[in-house]
Amino acid sequence: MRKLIYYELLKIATKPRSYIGFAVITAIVLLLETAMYIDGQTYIEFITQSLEESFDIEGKFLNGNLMCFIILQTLIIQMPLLVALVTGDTISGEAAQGTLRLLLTKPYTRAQILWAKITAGSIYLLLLLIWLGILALGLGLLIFGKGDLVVLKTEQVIILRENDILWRFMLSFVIAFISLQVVASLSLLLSCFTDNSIGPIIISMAIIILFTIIGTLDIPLFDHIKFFLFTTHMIVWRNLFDNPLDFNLIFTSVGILIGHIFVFNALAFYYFKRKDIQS
Amino acid sequence: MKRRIFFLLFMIPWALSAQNPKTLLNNAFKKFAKVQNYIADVHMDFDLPSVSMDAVTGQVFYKSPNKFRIKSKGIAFVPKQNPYFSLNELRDTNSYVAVLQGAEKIRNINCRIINVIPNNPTDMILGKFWIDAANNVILKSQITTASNGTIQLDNYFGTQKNFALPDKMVITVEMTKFKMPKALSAELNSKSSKTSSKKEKGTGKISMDFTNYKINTRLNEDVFK
Amino acid sequence: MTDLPVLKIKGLAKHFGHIKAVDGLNLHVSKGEIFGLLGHNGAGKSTTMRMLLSLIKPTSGRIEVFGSELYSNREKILSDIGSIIEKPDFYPWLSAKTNLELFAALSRKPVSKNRISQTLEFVGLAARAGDKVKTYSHGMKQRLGLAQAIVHDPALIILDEPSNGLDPKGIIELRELILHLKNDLGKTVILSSHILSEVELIADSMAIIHNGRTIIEGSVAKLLSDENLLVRFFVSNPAKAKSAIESSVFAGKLIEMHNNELILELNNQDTSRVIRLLLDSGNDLQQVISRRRLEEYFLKITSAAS
Repeated sequence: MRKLIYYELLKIATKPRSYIGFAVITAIVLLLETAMYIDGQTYIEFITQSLEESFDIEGKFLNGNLMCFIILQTLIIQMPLLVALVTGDTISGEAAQGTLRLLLTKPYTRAQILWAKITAGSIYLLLLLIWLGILALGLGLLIFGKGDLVVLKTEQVIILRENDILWRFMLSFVIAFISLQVVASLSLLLSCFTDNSIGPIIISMAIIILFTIIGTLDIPLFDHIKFFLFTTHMIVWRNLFDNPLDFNLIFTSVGILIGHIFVFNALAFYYFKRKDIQS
Repeated sequence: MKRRIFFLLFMIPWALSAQNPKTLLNNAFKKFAKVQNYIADVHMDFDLPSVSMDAVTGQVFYKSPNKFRIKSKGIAFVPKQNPYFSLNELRDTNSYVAVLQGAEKIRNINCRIINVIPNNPTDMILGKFWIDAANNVILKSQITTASNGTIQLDNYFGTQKNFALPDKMVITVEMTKFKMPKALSAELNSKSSKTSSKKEKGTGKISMDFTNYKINTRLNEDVFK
Repeated sequence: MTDLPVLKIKGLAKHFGHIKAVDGLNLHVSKGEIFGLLGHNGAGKSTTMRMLLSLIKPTSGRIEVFGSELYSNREKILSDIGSIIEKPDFYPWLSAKTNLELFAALSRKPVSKNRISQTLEFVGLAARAGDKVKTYSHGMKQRLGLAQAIVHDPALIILDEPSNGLDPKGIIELRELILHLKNDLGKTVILSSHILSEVELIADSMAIIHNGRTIIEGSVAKLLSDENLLVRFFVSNPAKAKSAIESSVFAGKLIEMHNNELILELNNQDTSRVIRLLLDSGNDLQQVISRRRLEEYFLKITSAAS
């Protein structure tokens, strides 16, 4: 099994496509950090102008922690695509290229092969998030320094003290991992159904975009279904930056996300074990 | 009897002058005017509408007549005006009209309520002061400003009563509730409030506890930059 | 070659909806032989081969490999099988050597680095082992496919249309490699093809499948012997020719006659005698076409299918 995982990782590591995610993350983070370095103060003044009507603000809004938060907030929209780009290709890509039939003639059960692919995909996702963490938080702190975190919500400003932030970021990366694992599981499931490499990636993104639109629109009809959409819960990491924390909400959302992972993977296992390889 | 007459003759002018609102205000100002500068540690608590913020500590610096700065170990919202700015408006007794409005007990202390109307208002349009005449300190003031609406200051005196410097000060201000477009906050799934287009007002409170006062000490001007 | 069965298929069927790709197939492959599975495109060869490798789950029937039922001993059986199905596809961005290492490692049999180099040498790819597969020609990929199929020293090798896309030189080389596997290494090879001559040249036994069923199965020597020829004589005077044959010992050998064509079932020796007989009867022989009966039969089903 370890051998299977090792070779799945080798395939991911040697495939040029796998580095698109790292390149995009690097580009976006560097772009945002450069822009904020040059013009961040204007941006901060723009969003805090209503507060500054009543108060002077003492202390530094723009710091590494805020940068990391802004980057996480921005990238949560792009990350699913970057993840699906690799995980959506795991089965269908091999089917399209013809190596799946060769792989499945090897003396491993299909469940083992799928499990190895899921594990390798998760490790890839983890590395992607670690890279994001290093760039967003590490580089952010290096360039912009430490400081309290200002979380700007639609109708609230939350200021978290410097010593109260790191654990929140760590946990939010864990939740981001779980959220993106849902995307990985979904694209892997779709990948089992088709022999074309691009289809599952596009369908995964289409589902995410559709669900996000439903989640964004304040239409009463959608209110009833929003709770069941995984995209609604994918942004629960932001609730880790609430004060006080609503653990009930966070646990519920994490539970729903894990439920999605379980269902998507279970369906993938069910279908993949029975799939006739005709490609 | 003679003694009584002597006492009355001696006390009436004093009492009358003590009841004079300008005198009361001037006495309070004079007490505070003894302070050339000070440094103190401050612990700030915030109770602001649409702002969630834990307490923060820092240092407060003051230099007469109107330099004031709070340096906090973290982000803090501090009042736009120096909390003593209204006292400075009382520096020149000819620059305002003072009207004794009555008396009121604050924290069981008898206070005179004096309304102050500046002759040539700059920022303060109207001031209302609750003065503890016995100690010549202002326990409460309510200042209506042109720039920031009404500001209320509640002073709690203790260790530095002789300099009219409070151990605790609570500043109450009117403030606009914070609102930001969804796109900027990236709260895609949040429900917009139905009155989102209106600028809602609220009342915010900042409590400042001062300790370790160092009064009339050497103070580097750089801290005010 | 022994009679010990390496593969036994009984009543194997695979239905895709209402399409019966394989429909009650029976096969028997002995140890150490090259077995040819012959059939036109769409006859069910590939589906059968995929079922042998558990790529496709049968609708019904039983497959026994090395004496054990395939699906209950799948992993154990597959570790002793090497295969190329359809076309040899690899990870194009990896080198041939890395591809081979990868698939060797997944065979669950110990494969040394030395063995990998030897296998690449054996298929003639040692010089370009470090090149990425995307730079390989089809023939080179086919050879790499064969290397992948044998690198873990399996007892049974399954090759689905192995000569597809190869040039004549490549086909000859492949044939020699397969014969080497059987003759020198004692492997059992099952190969499929839609070309009879290819099977004839290499296989010990064969089966023709048509519409998912076994039509004929047996040793190639017997099935394709010269004892059983269908000979077509094109003559100038068919009536005279017919009467000459009917009055000779070959009267019972005439199968069909239309226009100027007479079809007789003969062996090699009798063919010469019939030619002499027809010439003696005053006929001009315009053309004589001789085909083995199985070949004729195969051509018929092939042309019917196409």
